[in-house]
Order: sequence, then C-alpha cells, then structure tokens
Amino acid sequence: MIPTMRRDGRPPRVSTPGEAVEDILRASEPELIRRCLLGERAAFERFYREHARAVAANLYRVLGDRGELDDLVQEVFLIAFRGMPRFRGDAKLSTWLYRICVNVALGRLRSRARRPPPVPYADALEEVACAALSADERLAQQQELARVYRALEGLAPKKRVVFVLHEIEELDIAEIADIVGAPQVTVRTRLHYARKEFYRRIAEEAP
Amino acid sequence: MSHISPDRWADVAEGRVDGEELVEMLAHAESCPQCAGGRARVEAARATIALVRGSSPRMPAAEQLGARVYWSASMEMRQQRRRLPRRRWLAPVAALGFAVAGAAVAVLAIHSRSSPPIQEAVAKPEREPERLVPPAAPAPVASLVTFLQGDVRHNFAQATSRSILAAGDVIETGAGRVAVQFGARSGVLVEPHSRLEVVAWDERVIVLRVAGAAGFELAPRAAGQRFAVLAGDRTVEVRGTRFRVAERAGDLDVAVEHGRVEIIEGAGHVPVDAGARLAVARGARVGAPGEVLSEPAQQALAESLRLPLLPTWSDDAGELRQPPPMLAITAPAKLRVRVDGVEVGRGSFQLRVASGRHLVEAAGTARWVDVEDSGEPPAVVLGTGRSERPSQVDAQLVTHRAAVAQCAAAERKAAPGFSGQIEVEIGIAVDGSVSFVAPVGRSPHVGVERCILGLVRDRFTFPRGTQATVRKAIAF
Repeated sequence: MIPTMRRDGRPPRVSTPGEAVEDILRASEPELIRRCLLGERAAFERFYREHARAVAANLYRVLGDRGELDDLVQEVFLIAFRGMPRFRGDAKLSTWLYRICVNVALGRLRSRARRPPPVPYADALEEVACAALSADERLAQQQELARVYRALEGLAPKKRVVFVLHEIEELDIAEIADIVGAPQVTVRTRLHYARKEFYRRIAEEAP
Repeated sequence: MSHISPDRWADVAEGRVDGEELVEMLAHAESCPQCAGGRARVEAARATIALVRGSSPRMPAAEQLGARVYWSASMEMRQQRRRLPRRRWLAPVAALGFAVAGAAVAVLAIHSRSSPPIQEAVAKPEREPERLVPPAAPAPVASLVTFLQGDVRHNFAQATSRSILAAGDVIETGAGRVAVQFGARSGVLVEPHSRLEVVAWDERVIVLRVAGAAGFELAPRAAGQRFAVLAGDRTVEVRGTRFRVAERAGDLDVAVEHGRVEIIEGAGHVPVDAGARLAVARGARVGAPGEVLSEPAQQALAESLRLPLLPTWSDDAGELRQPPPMLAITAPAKLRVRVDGVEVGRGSFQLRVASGRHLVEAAGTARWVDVEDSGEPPAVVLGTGRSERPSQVDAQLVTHRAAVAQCAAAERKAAPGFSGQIEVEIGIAVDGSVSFVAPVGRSPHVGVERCILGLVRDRFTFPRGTQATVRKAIAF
C-alpha cells in the first residue's frame, strides 16, 4: 500500500494491500508507467509479467539462440525503465518495447559479427523440435532450422531485423518502419534485398 | 527462360505470382532440376519459418529474472534520487569555495605589500611529500526493528523483524506501524499511512524524508553529527530531542516534547521548543513562532512518542547487530496491551524486548514470557482467546474446494498430477468483508495464484466478528 500524496491537497487515499494489487491490475498504461516511476514493486511486476515473454520471444526469434537471453531480456527492461520518464505515450507500450528489443538485438548481432557465437542455434533447435515427430523427422527438422538460421546469419544486421520482423513476426511495413525508426521506403528496400539474399542462400545450400 | 530467382519461389508461395508468369515458372521448374531443387528448399525454409513463428523460448528463470530486473532498476532509481541532493549542494559549496579562495588571495596580496620579505636564516628541512590517504567513509548506522504491527513494507516487500535500514531504503505503512532503533538511544516510529525514505544514513549524517507522520526520539548528537528530517519543501533540523513530524499534502505539523528543533524553509528558520507545536499550511511561509501545547495535548504527544527501544548495556550500537528475537503478541484489534507495565499498542504486534522474563497484560489477562537470546521467537496470545476467523477461513475453503481445484485445472490438464500450494494473508474486517488478500512470498504458478486470490476476494463470505488477518496455506 503506497500512501501517495495527492496533488489537489486531499489526504492520501487509503487502500489495503489487496486493493493496491487490484489497482495495479486495473491501471491503464500511463498510470502503470507513473507508478513504475514511483518505484512501486507491484507496478514493476505487472509491467514485467505482461511483457517479459513477448520480449524474450522476440529476441529469441531474431537471434536464434538462448545463450544470453536472460541478460538480453534484463537489458531490454533496464533500458525501458531508464527511458520511462521520456515515454510520451504516442506509441503503444508494446511497440515501444519492441523498438528497444530490436535495438538490443541489433547490438547483439553486430557484436556477434565480430565474435561468432561458440554454439549457435543449439537452443533454437531444441525449442522448436516437435516432440510428436519421429527421431528421423526431428533430425530433418533440426537440419532445416539450422539451414534457416545459417542463411539469416549471413544477412547484415539491419536486413536481418527487417526480414525477421516481416517474415517471422508478420509485421507490416509501416509497423516495421516505426520500430526500426527508418522511412517506409528504406524498410521496403531493405526487405527486398534481405529476401533476395536469404532465399538465394537457402537455395544454394546443399540439402 | 533463364533460371528463376529463389525469392520468386517465395512470392509464388505467398500467392503474389499468377497468370502466365506462374505457368512459365512452373514449366521451367519441371525441366530445370536446379530451379526445382531451389523451389523445394525455399518451400521447406518457409515451413520452418512458420514453425519458428509459433515457437517461444522456455524461461525457466522468469521469476528470478524478474527480481533481477526489479533489483537493478530500483537500484538505479535510488542512486538517481541519492545523487539529486548532492547537485543542489554543488552550487553553494562551489560558490563558498571560490569566495574563500578569493579572500585568501586578497589577504596574501595585502600581507605581501605591507611587510617586507624576510630572508630565512635557516634553510627549511625538505619535508617528505605527504602521502594521500583517502578519508575513511563514514560507517553506516546499525539499525533494528523494535516494533512491527500490521501492513508495513520495507523496499516494497513486507517488512520483517530482520529488516535493517540503509541509505536509499523506503519504509511504507498501510494500516500498520513500525519502530526502528538506530544507535543506542535513538529511534523513529513510522505511523500508519506514511512513507519514510532514508536519504542519508551514516555516523555523520542522518537525513530522513517523511510523507505522512513519524515520531522521533534522538539522543544528543555529537559535534559534527547532523540529523535532519525533510518534510515537503521544509527541513526540520534537530540536536537531541523527542518530537513528531507530520507532513500531509504540503501541510506541516511539528510538535516537540523534549529539546528543540528548527524548521528551515528557504532562508527563513523558526525554532520550536519543548511543549510547543508549529503548524504551517501548504503554500504558507514559515515565520510565526509555534503555539504552546495544552496539558492534554502534551500528554497525547508523549503517548504517541512512546517509542520502544531495546536497552543496550553501553552506547555501543554494535549490540544491535545481534538482537534477541521479537516477541509476537496476538490480541483482538482493540485490546490495549501492556508489556512490563507500559502500554505498547493495541491488537497484535511484534515487539523487541531484552532477553529475560517479561509480563504481558491485556484486559485483565497476564502472561509471563521468557525471551532468550537465540531460539524460536516467543509468542503470546491474549484477550478473548484465539480469533474465530481462522476456523471460518477453513470452512470457506471446504465450501469452495471445487473452485480452488478448478484454478489449477489447466495446469493439471497439461501435467497430470500437478499440485502445489500458495500461502496467502486474508484481512477480514469487523463487518465480515474481506479487506485484502495478499500472497505471502512468490509462487511459481502465477495464473493459479491470481485465480485463488480472486476467488478468496470475491466469493469468501464471513459473518460479523473480530477484525483479523489470517495467514493460510491453500493447496491446489
């Protein structure tokens, strides 16, 4: 229960812990952000719980491995909390968070280009493999997945992000432009060349 | 026809190619093994992408990660808040520094003009350059919770008898109170619906920010020690005293039982002496002296400032670091409880007392209780016996057994044999309504926990009776 002083001079509203949790659950996005900024743990928790899975999934799909997923998710949320005072609410919270994810993933892709990961895609293979398949089918599926991520690895980071957002996350050009902070024409061009390059690499790979 | 670009096969799969062009491409692929192979690989890749689209990573450490994120974010926020007052200090300190340096230069210039240079007869021995030793950081002050009642949070988590204060910490109270002792003979009592933020907390400076109300008992400060309470835009500076500060929505109310405090606002300051009170409304300037408290008002003030402190054998606050366990007293909400002849509070609370035998009394009932330095925390139940509420909660759990089980139905379907339990605190008001339901600790099964909390809040009903908080483990 947080006895917040009201601006209009009235005494603080008294609520029970249960009500406080309820308040947080019912809070709108701006209210949630305001309460996060006040340092309310319940607000932090709701914000984290609502978005953690989507953030992790987004990072994981772009990067293809889970090696540093925890650290990257933490990084995304820390950047989000640091940036909250500047969040103006002109985009949805999820879009804003998506944008941070993309920037974190881009940073990771760039550093990976300088220093390749020791065990790439091991986790992706494990995650996607369907338990209902036979051993042979699982193996084939894993090989196919490895092929896809090898082709993705060959793309430049910016092209890769645009490709993943369009082909995997199924976002439209306008949304991608908003997230990556580039004009739609640029996004369209990047996507065109990313698709060309990706499918060329796929077609050229020996089966 | 030349070979087909592989991305065109992706276009075909997406239905973006039709008519003659599609017919030509398909005809070409039939006669060109290279393009047919390329098409097959593109389609396989697209199927795999669809698979990736539907996947999401397992997050086995989701809770720990959440705590890590919260910890890091809140640490940053605290550090930012701590940095703020320093910046305010920077300008005047820098200005003072420049002024002192300027004065020194001026004095030297005058001195050199007025007195002739003196030849030193004896050459000065060359002094070894002084080694720069960084000054030791002031040690943090030892602290100890001595009284704990009702809803009290320390850094946004339920406060416990083991909570200790550090700079940047926040104590918030709902319908509860907490007393924290620091040093051998000083302490602060945070009243209900208040917030206390620790701005500085070391041997030299203690600065606390109060929103709501808090009472203070302060042993006289040594030379160079500072104790201040920030209340809104005003500062209450203290030497050694017992006083109460209430700050609500900009209104300040300071009452002093013993000693003297000084209220500072901007450049103005007003002293408030023992037995006086100063109330300043929001927006008004501090200026007029405080009013003298009437006899009953002084008594009420003394009552509110009765702050339980653990006696120490010496002034060494290090004794606070190995305290005896807190005495847990359970009593009906309105019952006045006396410990060793002194009224400490009403209802249930935890109290820190020195090890030894103590007399706990309420409504004609008295119990002797032995407190040992180590071992299980002692407990005393007083008044009309145990509350009727725990058995009523048990009855409600039996009534709603099926609904509780239903909360875990989805998990049980995914993993037959799934079971677990959560511990909750249920606040029941006098009229029988559920005033709050809160989980105790963290459950890995968030959905189940939320469902059960909602069930207790919305469907549990109780008759009129005593006000109580019942802690219950609910199995699912």
